[in-house]
Amino acid sequence: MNTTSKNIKYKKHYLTARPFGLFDILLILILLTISIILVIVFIPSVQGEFVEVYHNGKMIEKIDLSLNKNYTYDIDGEIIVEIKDKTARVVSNNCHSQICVQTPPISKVGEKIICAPKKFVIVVANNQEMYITG
Amino acid sequence: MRKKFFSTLLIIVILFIQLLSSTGCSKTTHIFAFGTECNIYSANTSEIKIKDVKKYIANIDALLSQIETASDLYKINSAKAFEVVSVNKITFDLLSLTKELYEYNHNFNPAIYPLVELWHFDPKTYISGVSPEKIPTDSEIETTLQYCNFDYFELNPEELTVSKTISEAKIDLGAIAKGFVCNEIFEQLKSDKTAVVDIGGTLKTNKDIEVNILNPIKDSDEPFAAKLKLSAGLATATSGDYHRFYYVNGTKYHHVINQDGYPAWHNDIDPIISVTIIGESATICDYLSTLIFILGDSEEAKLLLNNFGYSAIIFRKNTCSLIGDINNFMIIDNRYTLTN
Repeated sequence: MNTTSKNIKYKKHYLTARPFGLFDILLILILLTISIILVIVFIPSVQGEFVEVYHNGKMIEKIDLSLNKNYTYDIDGEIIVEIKDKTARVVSNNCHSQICVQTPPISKVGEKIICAPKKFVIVVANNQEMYITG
Repeated sequence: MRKKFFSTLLIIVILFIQLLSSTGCSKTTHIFAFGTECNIYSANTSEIKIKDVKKYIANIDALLSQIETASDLYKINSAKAFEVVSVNKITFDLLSLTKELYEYNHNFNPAIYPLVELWHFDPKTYISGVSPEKIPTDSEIETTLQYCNFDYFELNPEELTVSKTISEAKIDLGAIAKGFVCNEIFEQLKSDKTAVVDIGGTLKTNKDIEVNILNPIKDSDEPFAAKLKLSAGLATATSGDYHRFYYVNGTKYHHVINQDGYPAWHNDIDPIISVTIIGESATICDYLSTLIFILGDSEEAKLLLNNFGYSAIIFRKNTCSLIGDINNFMIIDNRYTLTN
């Protein structure tokens, strides 16, 4: 009996009360602001300085993003990588998927263009933290 | 209600500040020790721990100095025959390891120091860019070579003491000390997945990094000969003929002395100029880099690397050869062609 009356009371409360109090809304706003700041701080969008070119997981070349130039690789047919205005893209590739050719140009550190059929990858990098042995 | 709100807010603010401070501080620490530069990269290690590491490095540096008269190594090297020298636990551990590695392969000679002194490559007399007037004579080398035997040293693990059977015998830990320190510090920082320890070019990493190999040919336009990807958990070390060297009458002499008492590959038409080792332990990398520098890419060297499961990159004047499984390796200076 006691539990039923409690339930009724609770039901009434949740039907009449506003879904959020003022402080709830404030809290949500603060959390949102913090998460936006965190996203800005921790997802760096640093302009890259180089493009690393990989085939089969092995780096075959590191190319400078500041020189406008085309680079041709012969991996089961021709792959042409174009460097233009500090961005890189694959302009032509005879692979069947053509996903790489349709990928928009990349320029920020960590951005990639992948050609899965040919195991060909280009990644934007920069020269921070140089490790030297010798 | 209000109380709850403020306490929640407080917790969030504290967490936020902690997050910012832990990622923002102490990225790189530079220390000068072992006659070289040491760099510790660690984004998530507290200032207190970094201070401890610095203290640790300074402590080992003081124990192993060949110049400071209070150092363990100085005490051992200047001791008379059968004089008992008690040493620090760290020094003793390093000496025991040295003994083990010496017994494994006698081409690694930790007792080479009398010859290093004779050739003026010791830190007391070697001055970069200054050549001695003459090189040691054959008879001087022959006499000194007799003192260069690690069997003259006796280690007592119960008492942590060292003694030697002849006064002239002296130890040189240059071939493994950097690797040993690198390993020890790496163990202390292991919980940080961003940690990279660099003790004068001997590296161990906790994340995938790219490592440049210094160009052994210094008048080249390229500062680096090649680069390689070093996966998390691996170490690398390099021995080269370009760290301590001088020219006498147009001939280059360097500090890696072989078992005949002369710089390794002395008189060879195409000498080895640099050896880089990749493997799990920085100590073993350091040890093998010196050993392979002396052995070259002989069958013995290949067997040795295979036994340890380590790989090597060997540079000569115009060529580069690889032993073992090396992926993600790229030559930067085009003067070197890859051979097998």
